[in-house]
Amino acid sequence: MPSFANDNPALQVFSVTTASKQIFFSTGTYTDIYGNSVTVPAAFAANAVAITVTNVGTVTVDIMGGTATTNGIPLAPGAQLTWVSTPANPITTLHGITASGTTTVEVALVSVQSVM
Amino acid sequence: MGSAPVTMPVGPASAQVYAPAPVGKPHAVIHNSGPGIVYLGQSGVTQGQGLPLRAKETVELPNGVDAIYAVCGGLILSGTVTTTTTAAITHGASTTVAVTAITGFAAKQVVQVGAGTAAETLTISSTSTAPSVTFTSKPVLDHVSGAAMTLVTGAAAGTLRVSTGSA
Repeated sequence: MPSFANDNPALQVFSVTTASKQIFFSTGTYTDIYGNSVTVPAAFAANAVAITVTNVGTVTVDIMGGTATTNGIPLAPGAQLTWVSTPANPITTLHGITASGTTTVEVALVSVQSVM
Repeated sequence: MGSAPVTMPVGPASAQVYAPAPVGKPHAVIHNSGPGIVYLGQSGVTQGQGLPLRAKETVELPNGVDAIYAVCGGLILSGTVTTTTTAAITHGASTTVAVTAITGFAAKQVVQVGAGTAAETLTISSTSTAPSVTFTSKPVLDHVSGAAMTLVTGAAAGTLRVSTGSA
């Protein structure tokens, strides 16, 4: 699993192209936006977890789960998607792909436990 | 400005569940009330594509400028009425398949043979204490010996609660 950017441990930044790119990993330990360590998928057993994907680039990116490569949710430049899971419902992986060109997405994780 | 949440069923055909407001900054909150997994994506999204939204999960689009479509599907399989094949199945060869047991199976039932992308559904014509099962049509896929054969009890459906608006 890639590490979070040093200047902001809450954000993972990915460059996404026309080749499907995995942007969220279903296993590993994340630091959420409040600095809490969140182990996935164990955290999902007891807490709701929110994952936010923001397209900070210049072309639309499609966001998909699993290994699908088509028909994802389109995120225009500047658009954001927040996926809120439920306890005992481990989230799957997330992938991004563009129809053409390259964009940049930021992925952030929040455990509900940390915001209550 | 927002509108009252709309509850809508989602079936096996892709249908539009969110149309962004033409003015302002459109937003949407899409919640899956269950019971099936709903796949969100673009026009024509099918099961297994797009973004899977399990029951009780929510997707929020604070700046959702694109239309969203949804589809639900898949089969509900019995947790108890199941058996396995005792010989490999060659597609198109025979309508009769040897199995380890026929308990719980009967004519006119729909079963799933195999799993994952190698699965297919067949309708039982008759059962035999051989034990074996005869289908109304020949399998169209090959299956290994030991493949699971499970009673299909229904089709999964989902219900979305969609809140939309613009700022």
